[in-house]
Amino acid sequence: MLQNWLILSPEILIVLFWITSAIVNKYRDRKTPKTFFTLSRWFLLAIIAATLVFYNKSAFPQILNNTSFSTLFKLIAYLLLLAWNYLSSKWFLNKNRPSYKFCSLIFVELLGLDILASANSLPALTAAVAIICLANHALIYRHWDIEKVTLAARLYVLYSIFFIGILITASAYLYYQSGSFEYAQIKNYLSQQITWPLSLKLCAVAIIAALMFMMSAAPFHLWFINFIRCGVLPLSGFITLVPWMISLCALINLLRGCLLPMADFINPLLFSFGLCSVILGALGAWAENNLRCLFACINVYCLGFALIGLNNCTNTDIIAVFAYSVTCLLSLAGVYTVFLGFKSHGEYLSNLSELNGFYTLRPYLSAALLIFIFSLIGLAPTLGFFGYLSVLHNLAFSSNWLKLGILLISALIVSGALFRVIKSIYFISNNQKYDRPDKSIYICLFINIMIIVTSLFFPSWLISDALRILGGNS
Amino acid sequence: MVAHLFIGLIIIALAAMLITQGKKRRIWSILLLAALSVITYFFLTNLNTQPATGFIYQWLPYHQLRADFNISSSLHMQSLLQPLIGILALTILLNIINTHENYSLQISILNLLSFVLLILLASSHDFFQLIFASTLLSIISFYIPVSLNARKNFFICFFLAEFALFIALCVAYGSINTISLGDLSNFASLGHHKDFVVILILFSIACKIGLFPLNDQFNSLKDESFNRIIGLYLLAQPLAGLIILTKLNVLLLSVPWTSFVIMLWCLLTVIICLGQILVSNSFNLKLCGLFQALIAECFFITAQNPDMLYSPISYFLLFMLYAALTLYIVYGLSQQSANQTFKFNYFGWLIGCIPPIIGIIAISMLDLSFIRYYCGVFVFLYGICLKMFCSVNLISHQTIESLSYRRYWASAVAIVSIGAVFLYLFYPQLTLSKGQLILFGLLFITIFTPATALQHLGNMQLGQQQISEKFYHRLLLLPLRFFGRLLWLTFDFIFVERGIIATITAYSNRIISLLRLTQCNHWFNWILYFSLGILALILYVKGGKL
Amino acid sequence: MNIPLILLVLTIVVPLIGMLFVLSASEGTKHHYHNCSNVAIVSLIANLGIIWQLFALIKKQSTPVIIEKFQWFQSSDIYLSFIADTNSLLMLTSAHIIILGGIIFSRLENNHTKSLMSFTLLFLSMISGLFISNDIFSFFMFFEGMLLPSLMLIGVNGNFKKSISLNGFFIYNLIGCLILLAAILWLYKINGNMTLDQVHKISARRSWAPFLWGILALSFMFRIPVWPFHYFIASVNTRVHNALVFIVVSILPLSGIYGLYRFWPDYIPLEISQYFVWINVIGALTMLFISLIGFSNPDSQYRLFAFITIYYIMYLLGIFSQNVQIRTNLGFAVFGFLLIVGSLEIIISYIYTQETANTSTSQGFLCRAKRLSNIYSFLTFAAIGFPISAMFTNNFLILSHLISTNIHLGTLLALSLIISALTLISELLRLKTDSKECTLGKSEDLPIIYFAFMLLIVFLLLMSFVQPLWFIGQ
Repeated sequence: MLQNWLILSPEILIVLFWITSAIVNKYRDRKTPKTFFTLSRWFLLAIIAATLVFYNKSAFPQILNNTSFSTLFKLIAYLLLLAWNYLSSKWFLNKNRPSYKFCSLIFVELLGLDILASANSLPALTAAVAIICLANHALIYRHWDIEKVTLAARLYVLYSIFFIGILITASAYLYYQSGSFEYAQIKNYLSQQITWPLSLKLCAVAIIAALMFMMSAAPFHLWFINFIRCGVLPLSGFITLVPWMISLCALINLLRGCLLPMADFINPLLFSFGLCSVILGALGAWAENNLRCLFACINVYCLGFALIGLNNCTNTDIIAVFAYSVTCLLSLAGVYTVFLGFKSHGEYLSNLSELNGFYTLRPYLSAALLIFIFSLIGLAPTLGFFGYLSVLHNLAFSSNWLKLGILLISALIVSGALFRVIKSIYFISNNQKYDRPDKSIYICLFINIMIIVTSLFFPSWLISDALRILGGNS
Repeated sequence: MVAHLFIGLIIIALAAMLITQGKKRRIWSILLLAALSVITYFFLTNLNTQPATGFIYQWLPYHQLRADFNISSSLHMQSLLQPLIGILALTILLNIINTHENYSLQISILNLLSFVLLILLASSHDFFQLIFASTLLSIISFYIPVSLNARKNFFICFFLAEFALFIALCVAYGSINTISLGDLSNFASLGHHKDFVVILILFSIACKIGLFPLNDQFNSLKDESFNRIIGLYLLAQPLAGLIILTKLNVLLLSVPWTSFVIMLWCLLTVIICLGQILVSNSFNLKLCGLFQALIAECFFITAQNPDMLYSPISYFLLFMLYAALTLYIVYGLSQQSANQTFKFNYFGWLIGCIPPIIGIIAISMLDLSFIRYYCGVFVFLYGICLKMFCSVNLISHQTIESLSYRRYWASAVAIVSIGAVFLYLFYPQLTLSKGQLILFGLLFITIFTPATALQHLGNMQLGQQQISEKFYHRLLLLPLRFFGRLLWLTFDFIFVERGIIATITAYSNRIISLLRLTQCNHWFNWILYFSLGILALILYVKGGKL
Repeated sequence: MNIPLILLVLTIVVPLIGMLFVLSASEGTKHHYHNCSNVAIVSLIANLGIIWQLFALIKKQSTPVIIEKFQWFQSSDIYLSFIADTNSLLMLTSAHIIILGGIIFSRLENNHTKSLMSFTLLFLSMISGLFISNDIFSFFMFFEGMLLPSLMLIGVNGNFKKSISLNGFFIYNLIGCLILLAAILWLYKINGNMTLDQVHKISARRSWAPFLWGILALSFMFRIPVWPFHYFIASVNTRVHNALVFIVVSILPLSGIYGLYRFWPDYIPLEISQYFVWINVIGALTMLFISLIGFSNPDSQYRLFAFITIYYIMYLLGIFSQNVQIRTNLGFAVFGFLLIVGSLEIIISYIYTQETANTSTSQGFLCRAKRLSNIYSFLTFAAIGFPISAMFTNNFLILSHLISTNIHLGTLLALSLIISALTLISELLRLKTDSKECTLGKSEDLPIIYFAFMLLIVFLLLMSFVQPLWFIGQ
């Protein structure tokens, strides 16, 4: 019993954070925006430690199953959250806004993500998706200008209700057919089927569609772009960086643990989502003049790239997609760090034209952004090239030339879109004044670049060592 | 021994280059001449005592492309070098004594380098050395004239000549797979595109020696000083052209029509140049006409028998220098007399005698049995030229009375010359081929052609300068520029920039604006994407059927 | 200690270290800029020393090649493999020397900014990697890696006004890179990671071979301004107003030539080689086209670009000819070619700077500036193909081969060479034609130190004709 409580310590720590922060919020007089971020940082460290200690222990394996595989994905997400929390505190300090609710909601979403990564049954999956949607909805309201976000928030609720609804329905139907919510049981049931009736197909599609919505794959990606357009910068960074790895982990778990017998039916579906995301993401990036929205589109594109890369969801596919996702997230984390430096007269800039000639005044930030952008494009010899190469090389090896061709063409389009950013920052002159960025931004960028450079010269840690875990467990 | 001479001269030239900074360093020119004298003295004294040796530096080691830097001593080379050394020494002397020459040392260095390159050219055994020496001579020729127009004409003309030679040798190499000049005889049996090669080589040589109408570069020397003209004619490209002719004669013989074309071309050049001498008022142009006519004749003779270059023709060049020098002196005096109302008639007569005397002495120095009837041709031509000079130029400043007198004695000199020619022509045991007979016949007619007829030809030659200028601008530059501009307009600007790029930009802008519209935060967009997504999913589930 | 490997890696790393030093320098004053260029010069000279050592090693080994391998990915067969042979080292040497010239002259023109130096060093590192790479992945990495610094150099330091052309340039080059990536992945699928020497020997008789070789050739031709795509390169090259940047951009097509040189097989069967006639036709037409445009264009920069393009296409045709002698001589020819065009560009840029600084016409400048006149004349003579540099031999071989194969094409090629040469000659004559409007005089002549550098180039060119490997005593 005690062991189960101990295994559940990450989740318990999340709950403890709520309690502690509520107490601090209520009783501490000299609280600043930084207070809750400091608190959350310590709790996060504790959560990371607990996750590491109980990396393959599960309290209720039928519902939540921790494996080294899921732990790896969780750790990456937590570390990104830790870094982003640290940077977000600078935003709150600069704006001098209360951070209690934001931090608490982040931890709500963290709970959802924690459950999602370990989910081994359909109710757990549904609950996680619901918590995440709820947290996202609440987070968007953290904007000081409520009117600006109301439409997006309301429509998001409608979307969420629909997708959670179909997820519940599909879960219920599968339970009705197989007699269990557990992935393994459903997988058994599905493997006994010779043909797929329409109802089963609908169920599979419903589950995948709900996950795709949560992951912001096109054509259900509009919430993501508009959240980033309307939301505050800390929210944008958070929804870009943190949920990715865990959603991917949940998708892989679901596909491998539950829907594997239906792979022939589901793989083209995933490919279609991937294709849609790649096209709409790449072209959408061209259409945006708002830098954050542009990168939101890039995020959708990268997700599509990963979905296409998942291919048949074999071990090598997963390894390739993992490598790609890590490189992408590192680059995106870098980009969002630089966003915090785009500041003029205390206001954070997001319009492309406002950043004309940024390079002349802030060369280091611009250079860092350049590295991250080229890494996102996948140009050699940046780290992004390895992630990019791992997916393409995998597709070539399995003779998926069509997919490879699509990815190459989309990479070309997205490169053009990102080139606009480079052009604006480097090649167009402007006399705008920019605020001096916080030292913490430089520190984070330095660490990020060090990771990138180290990975560049010793990519084995990324491709080989970490993925031995994936290969051994998946 | 030739190698020593070659290296010694290069060292002198390089040393002189280092000190050639300012103008009018005449003393350095004298020292240069002294150094040259010392070197040539040793060369000439050891000429027959040392065996024929050579200096060979292996340059490209490949089997098919074996190129050596070869300076070898041979009988031919020695017989070529002796008169050339004389020409070089005289030319440098001219540079020194010419008071109007501000860059005597520089010009002397260039003459020296030209001489060195002629040695290199004459001793070439492969294509690369041949092209190398010939090209460097072209570069040097570019620096000798003062006027930019002359330089421009020289450079463009010689560049085209070098390029033609280069392409011809490329084609030859493509056929026989070797760059050795010794293996060129295979070209007649193995070669492809023989006509093309011969045309290119003829073009190249014609540019170098100045056959009509490719002699515009020499005519543009009308404002140059005498010493520079001499340097350009006697120590640079014309001689290089003749040497190349001897080296590549085998290629020229690979087609049957070469000798006929050469004969006709030379004849045309001679006639036109005679006209130029008659019509022109400029001494330099007359001199150029004279040189061109004589060199065209040398070309004809060398084409008949390449060995002729190494003894009679090279000596004849020396003779030409003497003749030119005397003409120059006569001209200078006549100018002076015109200004000072000097009694020119008698003095001019005296001076006028000098050139034919020197000419005859020079010819008598030669081995008559060897040069045979060609010698007659030289005298013949010389007589004609002298006639032209005396009748038109020397008396141009004088009164009409003296004009008739001048004409009279000039005709006498000409008749003496012609007599000498006939003497040679009817020399016992001399037989002439049909072609040579025709040539002599034509020349004979020319000399008795009325001056007015020749004037037309001369006008044509002088007009050629404007024509070639017009040709260069209107028929070469203008169409090339026009085509270039047209191509840029049609392809780069209309097709690519305004066609492809503008279309892509327009369509992509439309797509982008559509996406911008559908991506903004509006309820319609949310519903649109949602409905499209759901529709696609349903379609997928139903296998493409609704 | 593996000295060859260390030396090979150092050729890539030394410029990178130099770049880091440059980046760490302060910015703002002339003194700082001098420091930056000093660092760049030292890095270049150090690298030239390393290259010299490599030449010496080749001589010592009495074989023309050094091959070393660096295991990069521990678990994969993707590794870094390096090779050094006479041709690649010659090309590398010329690139170094001419970039060194560009840097030295940028001091004279006071435009040696930090970004210029750092991106130049990055470019140098990439091109060093390209010339010594021995396997397909290393090759691709450096091939693509050249794009970033060259693009940034054009955009930031090229004084470039028309940014739409820059878009086209970037996308066009990227298309070439992506096509090459597809080809490389294909090769990888066939045989795993292979050395370029192995690619060279792949049988062209297989059914897929024409397609593969077609793609490879196409990808490399994207770097070379072949009709009708020359526009994208021409529109950028001709508008760059910085000698160093122009040199870098001019070296870029060399990567395509070098790629073909390394990849193109020894023997191509008749079924494929019959299509070469089309490549020859396109090449010869492009040459004629560009030479005519260059001739009609009054801009000296465009004229030089036309000249460079013509020669690159000629080298391209030379490689397609599969003549062993042409291949053997290519390194020597490129050595001379790069030195000539680089030096010409430096001098043209110098004249342009003097022209704009003194608001005078440059016509007649060479009449008064003796040093400049001598150098410019020599370079023009060398450029038009006179036998005073190593370019001559290769011109001779390529022309003789093409004429013996097809007299019409050969004549076209010769014609375009003549037109391009006339273009350069007319530019020389223009500068030598005295004009009263020209206020430039002896005081604007080349300073003695810079003249000495140019004399060094002249010496190297002459030696390249007589004995290219004089510096190692062969």
